[in-house]
Amino acid sequence: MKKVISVLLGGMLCSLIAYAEDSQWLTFKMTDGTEVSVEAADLIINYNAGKLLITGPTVDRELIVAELESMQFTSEAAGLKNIIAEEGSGNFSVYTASGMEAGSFSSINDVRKALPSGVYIIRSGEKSFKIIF
Amino acid sequence: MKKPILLCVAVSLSLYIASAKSINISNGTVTYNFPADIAGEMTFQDESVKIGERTFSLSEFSVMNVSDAATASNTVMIRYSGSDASVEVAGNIAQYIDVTTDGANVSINQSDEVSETTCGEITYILKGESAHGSFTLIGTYKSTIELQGVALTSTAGAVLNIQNGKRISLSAKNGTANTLVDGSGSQKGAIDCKGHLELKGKGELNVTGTKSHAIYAKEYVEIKNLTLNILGSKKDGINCAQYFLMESGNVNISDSGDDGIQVSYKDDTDREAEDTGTFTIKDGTLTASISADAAKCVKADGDINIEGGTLTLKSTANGVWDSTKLKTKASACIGADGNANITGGTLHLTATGSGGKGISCDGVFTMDGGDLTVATTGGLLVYSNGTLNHNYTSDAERINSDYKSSSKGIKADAGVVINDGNIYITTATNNAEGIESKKELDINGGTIFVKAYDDGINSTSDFRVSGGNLTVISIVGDGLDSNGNLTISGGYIRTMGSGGMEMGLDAATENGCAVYITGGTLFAFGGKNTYPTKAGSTQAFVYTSGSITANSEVSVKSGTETLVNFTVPSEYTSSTNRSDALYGPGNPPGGGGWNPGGGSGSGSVMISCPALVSGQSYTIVNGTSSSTVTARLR
Repeated sequence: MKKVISVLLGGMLCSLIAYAEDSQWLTFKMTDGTEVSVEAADLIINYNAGKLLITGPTVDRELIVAELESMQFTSEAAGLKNIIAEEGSGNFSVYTASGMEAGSFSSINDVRKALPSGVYIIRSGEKSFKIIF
Repeated sequence: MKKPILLCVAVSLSLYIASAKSINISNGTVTYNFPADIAGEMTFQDESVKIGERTFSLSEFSVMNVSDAATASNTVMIRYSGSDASVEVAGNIAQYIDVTTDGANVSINQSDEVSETTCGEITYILKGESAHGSFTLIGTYKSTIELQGVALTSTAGAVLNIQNGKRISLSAKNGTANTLVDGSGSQKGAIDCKGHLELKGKGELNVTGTKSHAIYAKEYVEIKNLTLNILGSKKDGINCAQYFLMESGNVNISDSGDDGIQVSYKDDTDREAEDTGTFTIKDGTLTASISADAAKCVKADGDINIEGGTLTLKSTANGVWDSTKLKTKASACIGADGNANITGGTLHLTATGSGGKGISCDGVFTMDGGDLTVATTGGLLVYSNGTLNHNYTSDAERINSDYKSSSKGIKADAGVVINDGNIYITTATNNAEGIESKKELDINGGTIFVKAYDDGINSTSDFRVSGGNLTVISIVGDGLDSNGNLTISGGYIRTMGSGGMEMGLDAATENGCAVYITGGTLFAFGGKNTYPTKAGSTQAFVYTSGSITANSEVSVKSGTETLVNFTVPSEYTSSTNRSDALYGPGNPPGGGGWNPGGGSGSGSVMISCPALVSGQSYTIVNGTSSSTVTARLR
């Protein structure tokens, strides 16, 4: 009986944590199809004169509302999940906004641990996307 | 084993709550909170964003933030602080809730789309303090308002304005004190509810109505658990239609400008089965003190049902002259246009104003249980030559009944039936009867003590006693007074009238009526007694003349065998001190040695009991004197 309860509780706990992880990022989808992800924690978004001013512990930038299609909480930064799935290995390269290679990583958490906050380009095969944290 | 499980669940939930993200969108005072799963994909269009099922103009709702905190589903939280208020709306109901604020005045329009098939019932939580605040709720589906420690004073209108004709649950959370005061305006109550109001919660709610009633509901009011203090009202403390039901809790009403609680019929042309205008209390404590002219502590257009609980009702209100109906109108602790039914509970009723009554009903007064204590001390109200006399002490026999109103313990227009329970009544003033039935009167059981200035127990029509234990004392009138026939078939009765023409037992012989005794044990003393008629009586009686004193013994002996023995009650005194009327049995006023009889001190002693045999001789022992008598069927 104890085992059954433990399994049930474990399952419940895992599912709750998994659900919570679904909202670690706030990903903006632009009208041109590109996506921008920002860390969701403690994010503040102010609207002013057609722009969203996005600030948080790891982000400070503006997005033009007219160029936005949608936003959504996601478990991964934009594009990362697809890249990992397609490449199989899960390894990807990270570049700074100025084009300097910052390293090769297998998870976004490794990127956050290794690099200072800022804007980076992640490339995997033919695909690339921007990450802000 | 249970504790570890609960701990795991609590930890899991706290991890979830701490980790799950919500997006809040706000206009500065109103915030809609969307957990990630409710928010879904938030789409932008034309300077607006659609979150969940609601579209927000970004020029109005210009601030968003992400937090770990989530407003509980189906909940709207209103926090008052000084001259401001903030409102949080759960995302799952965002499309149904429109909020407008003006300082600390919050108005919510709940969509007509809210129903069991959409989102279900919504709870509005009020917290904080404001001396300039109010809450208005407009809707068409039942709602809950939960008070979690709120102190609001409205500067204009009702402090809670509930324009919703459905069931409104107003709950004071356990451990919280909540205070609501209304402001200027034409509202019907500080809490003004268009629908039916269910007051509950184990917290405390204090309400003051400065312009009208403290609590007004267009439909019924139910109370459970709540401690409700009505601290003042310009009109009634609580005014409702359909019915009033108190299941438990504590209700205290003071400083009301009219009735304590008034229950009305809604509308004769639109009345449903439940719309009976009935007041019912099943349990709890109800305390009310009123002083407004002719007001009632509890008034109902229908019946009043006391099934349990403790009621302490005090009226100091004087009677008035009703210039429209051209008759006097007096106060009462309990006033029913229908019947008054007591099946349980404890009632302490005190009426000290002119004409004030303990219980007054247009229907039948029925008692099947419970403990009822009534003390009235108000003077006889007489309207004469444009002047109200609140303590008319002269003979009022010839004054038209519309022009006078006397204090009484119980007055029932359609009859009195007492089957069980304990009744203690004292009155102290001119014309003040203990119990008066304007029609028939039946006593089948119970313990009844009456000490009345005027008649102890009086009926306009036939008076029957088949059971119970009666002790009745009248200072200037009859003990038991029937204006029809008076039939005794059971019970234990001690009835003591005044002297002269006043009787211990009085039937309307002048109208051809009579006393019949077929059973029971009777001791009657007065200036006179109406002796039973032979035809219709089956139990013999004996009589003699003499005087009695408090605590003395009167017995009937057959030889040396005592057949029956009566103790003259200690309350048998001539005292008319009004404060004495506030004493109940066991707390007799001082004095003693009173000898009614118009100064002669002598009157008629009549005794009947089953052991008496017609034609046989017995000895009546009255204190130290004795007399030999013959039992008879007259």
